[in-house]
Amino acid sequence: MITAAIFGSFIILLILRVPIAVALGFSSVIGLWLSDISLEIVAQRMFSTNNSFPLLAIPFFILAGEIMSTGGMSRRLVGFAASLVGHLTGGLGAVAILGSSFFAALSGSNAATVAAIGGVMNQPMEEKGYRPQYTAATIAAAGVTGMIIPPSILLILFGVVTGISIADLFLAGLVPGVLICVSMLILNRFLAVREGVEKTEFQGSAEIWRSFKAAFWPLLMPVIILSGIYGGVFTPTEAAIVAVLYGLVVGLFYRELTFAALYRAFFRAVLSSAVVMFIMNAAGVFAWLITINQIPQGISSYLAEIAGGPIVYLLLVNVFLLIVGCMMNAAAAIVIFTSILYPAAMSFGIDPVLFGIIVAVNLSIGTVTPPLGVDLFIASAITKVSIESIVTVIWPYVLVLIFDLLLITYFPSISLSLVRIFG
Amino acid sequence: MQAIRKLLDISEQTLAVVCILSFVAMFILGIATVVFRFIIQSSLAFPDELIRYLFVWLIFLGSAIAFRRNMHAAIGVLVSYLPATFKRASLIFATLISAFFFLVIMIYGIDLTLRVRPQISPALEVSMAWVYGAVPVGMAFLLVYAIELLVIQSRAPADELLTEGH
Repeated sequence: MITAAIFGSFIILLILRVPIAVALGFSSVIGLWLSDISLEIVAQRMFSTNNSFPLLAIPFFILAGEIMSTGGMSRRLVGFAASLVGHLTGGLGAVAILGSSFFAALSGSNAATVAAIGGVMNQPMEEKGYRPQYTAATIAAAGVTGMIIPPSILLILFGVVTGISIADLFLAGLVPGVLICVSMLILNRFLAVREGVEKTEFQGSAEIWRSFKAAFWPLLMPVIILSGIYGGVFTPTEAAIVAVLYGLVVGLFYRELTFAALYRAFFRAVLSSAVVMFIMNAAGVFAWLITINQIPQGISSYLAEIAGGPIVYLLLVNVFLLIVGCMMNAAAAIVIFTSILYPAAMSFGIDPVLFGIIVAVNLSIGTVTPPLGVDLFIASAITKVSIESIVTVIWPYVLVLIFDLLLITYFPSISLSLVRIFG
Repeated sequence: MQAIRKLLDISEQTLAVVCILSFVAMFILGIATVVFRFIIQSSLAFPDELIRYLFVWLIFLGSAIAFRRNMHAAIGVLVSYLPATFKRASLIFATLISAFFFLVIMIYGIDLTLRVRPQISPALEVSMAWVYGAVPVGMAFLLVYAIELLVIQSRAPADELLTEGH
């Protein structure tokens, strides 16, 4: 009865466009009221969710991404990518994809990656004769690596909700991110033929060296951050703080970071962090309430029964989350559904780190699927192409991403090899 | 109405400045903790605690700004297909629900804040009311902005009603 009231009210509120955080909080209030528990626990839980040091990695990684997209670093990364792959068929498409993956190693979110790289690539691609829809689709899809290649906001949230090591999750995200990048480069090679764009000459290894030197400081940053985390020097939160400092120093060194840009970067980071954390707070109350009512255990044993085994279970999880990802913000989805889907995954003996990667890749795909794909919105704003016409071009990318997701799901060593070597 | 809107704009800008200053302070304290951990091999307890407390304030006040700017994640697709009258009714209902939620949490947040007054934080040795106070204060701003949104939603022409949100 209480279960039905909690989930029923939650779904109805979502449909009526109540903000996700409020829907979580309000349905928890209903559940608490029915269970005769003081509502003070809501205020208490919302407070205590924030009061956590590991979660602080989120605002600082968001801030680092904002600073680095204003500090001219994205342009340098694109320059280096261009010297490597610019001469291939569909060169600028490949540059956008590779540049996004480089930027993904600086930033923890898809949205920041699309905004940073899309902002740089839009005009050159238009001048070379790429259709605006194709440009929009490519930069949106390339942004998917943002939350897979570490650092990743989604993986931090997953780590905090489940208690799994965030360092292990980051390490496990690296190869899947590269796999996604390479698969999209291959797809772009075939799709770009139909764009009929002119080829550019290979600039030579001297140009690779020159652009590498120009992009050296941004490229060094992920090396410092990741080796710091795995070498046991930093916690992920400390690494995020160091990333902000690094971005500031490099931005000032390049003389590309103005005070106004810095103010905007801080303000945007405040808003993005608040949006993620407000959901996290409310989800904290919701998860606590359903756990004391034994709901995840119930759902979990029910799912275990219909799935029968880990292979079918993972397939069900993937199909379910792909649908959820189309409708719901990825950060919200990961905090809400992890607490429900995780126990059954554990009872099937699925590796918890692998499960985190599967969920993160899956929900990242949700950022490029209509109707609610945040990458699509940003790509549309940059290129002035409507979402509808991006969608007509982006579907091959989405199919390839789903193919990657299945590879990552059923070949655990793609994610886990690095963890076994270094972890 | 103009004067009220002006006042609310000022309140939003003030919140923004407070949040940004807190964030800058969190960053400087964060650098300090990392440096101290390397130099004297032990972390100071007070910056760690202060960062978390500033973060709590930043989130609750930042949420209010994000609410006024319609940035909180919501699922607007289904409502956007409704005919104008139902769309407006649904959006107003959603805002009423939000306002009611903010009001309830504000009231319980005040109770909680008053109750934790005798509790002293371990490192900074200040009353925990200073930290818990972020909940009712943040909820109060959210409530005010929700009421403003209700007025806007009931008056705005049908084609200007926003349904999207990320």
